[in-house]
Amino acid sequence: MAPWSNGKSDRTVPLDVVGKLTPKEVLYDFDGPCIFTAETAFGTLVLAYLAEDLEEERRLRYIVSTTSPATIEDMKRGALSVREALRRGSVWIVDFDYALDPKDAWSIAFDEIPDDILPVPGTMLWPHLEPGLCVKLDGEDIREGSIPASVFLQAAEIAAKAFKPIFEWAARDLREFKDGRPPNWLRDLYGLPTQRVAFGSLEVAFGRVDVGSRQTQLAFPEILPTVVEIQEAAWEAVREGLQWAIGGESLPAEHDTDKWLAILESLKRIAPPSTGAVSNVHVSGNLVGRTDRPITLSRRSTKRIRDALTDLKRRQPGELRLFKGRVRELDLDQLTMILRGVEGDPNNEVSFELEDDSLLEIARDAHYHQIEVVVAAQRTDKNIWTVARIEFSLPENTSDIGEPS
Amino acid sequence: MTPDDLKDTNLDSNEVEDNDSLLEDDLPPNCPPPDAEPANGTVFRCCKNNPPAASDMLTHVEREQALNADPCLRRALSVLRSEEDARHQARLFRGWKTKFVAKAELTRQHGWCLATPARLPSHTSWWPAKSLNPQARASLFTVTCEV
Repeated sequence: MAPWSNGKSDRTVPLDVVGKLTPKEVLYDFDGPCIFTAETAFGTLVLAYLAEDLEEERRLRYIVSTTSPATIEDMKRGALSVREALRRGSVWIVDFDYALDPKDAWSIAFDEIPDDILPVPGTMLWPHLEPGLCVKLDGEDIREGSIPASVFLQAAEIAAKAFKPIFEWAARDLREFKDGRPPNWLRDLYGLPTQRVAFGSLEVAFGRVDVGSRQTQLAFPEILPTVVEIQEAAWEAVREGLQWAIGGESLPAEHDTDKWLAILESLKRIAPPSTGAVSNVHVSGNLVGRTDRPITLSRRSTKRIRDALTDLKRRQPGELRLFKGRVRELDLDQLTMILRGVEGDPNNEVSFELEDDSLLEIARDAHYHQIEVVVAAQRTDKNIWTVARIEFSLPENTSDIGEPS
Repeated sequence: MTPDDLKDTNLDSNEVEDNDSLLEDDLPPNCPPPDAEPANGTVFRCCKNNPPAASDMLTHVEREQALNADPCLRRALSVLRSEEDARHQARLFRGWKTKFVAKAELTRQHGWCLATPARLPSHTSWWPAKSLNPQARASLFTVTCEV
């Protein structure tokens, strides 16, 4: 008989050791206490989880795991899933009668419990603790205890910047920050707070951004859209983009180009790189409308996203140019810079905006050390050039710079 | 409207089967509580069967379960007002509640409801009308998703 259902083996735990297991704190109640803490006869704190109702035997089967107040607190604040909390302790199976008195108990290894008896991995104690977005990065070289640093970098990139293009698009009518670094309140909307990190593959769960208090902090609250409307529009666009990325269709015929440029830029930052440790990225959560089954972006999705982005950019009216000069002014807040000594420019200087923080490092070094740089920049309907790539102007490097990826 | 009025309610015979269940006659004093309201609106309940079966819709009294619990609440069925809460529950208790989320539209003829949130904000206790036996309750529900 399988250990899960074997209550009469040498693993039997005497009921006077188990104790009454009277609920100390009921954490989830639905038709009775489903998840609760209790103390054994010897005062050990345990976490009890209702696994099955054995109707014919008139028994309720609980998984009972030794625990600690810290684990319970982690579970209550959403830093730990119920499954992870159960896994942390030594486990008994305890069958209660319908009056909730223990009738049988035996020990079991956690891995002997059938998977479909346990909560879906990552499920939190209460619905409001469920992460807004969950991103799982996997690949052959990603294993528990051996996760390449580049994988963490990609997870951090997703957390901090992946949704920036879409939120900038959603807030496009607020012209004040059109160029350069977005204001902090907008950065707060797309920089999702990390709620939980799990290893195996690398899984990062992000909480929702609560905008309740931020609405009144805006400098121009009378201008639409509101922060909530920006969030709704942005996440709707993310959902639309993810559905497109896993489908086989081309971009919608009557698509909004600016919106799809933003969507594709964001998807590019989420999808697995063409090479490297991460081969799939699984995205789930309430914010992307997938709580049950994740959306999986593979390297095929990456190619699809990049091809669509290249095609869309190619059709954009605009100009791509290379500039060579020295960074004389660099505004770290606004993410703008002025390049002086530019050959062929009548004013001998050109203003640029930097697409994001990742370009800052070279720009800053070039500014401090007065090193000449080569800048690839694009101009569409605006007068200002947007930096796509920047590199030191060393002879061996200048030939490498090409069209932005 | 009081629970006694429900005894005279004429319901569609396809939906409700007359029965002499002890439910209504056996209710303790002040049950449902005075702040309960006639059933109304959308509710969700996780169940093991698709379509939902009578065994998915039993109160504690009908199961002879939770013998020491509040006698009034033992005669109520727990439901959720939020589908997201129900989906979460189905993910959390795969062995106990299995994987179906079912939805029903309740009206006043279906009994009495009281919001009983505690840890789950959308948790609601539903005292089904006497005329709704477990099978009739089940027939009010349609599975909306499989988790």
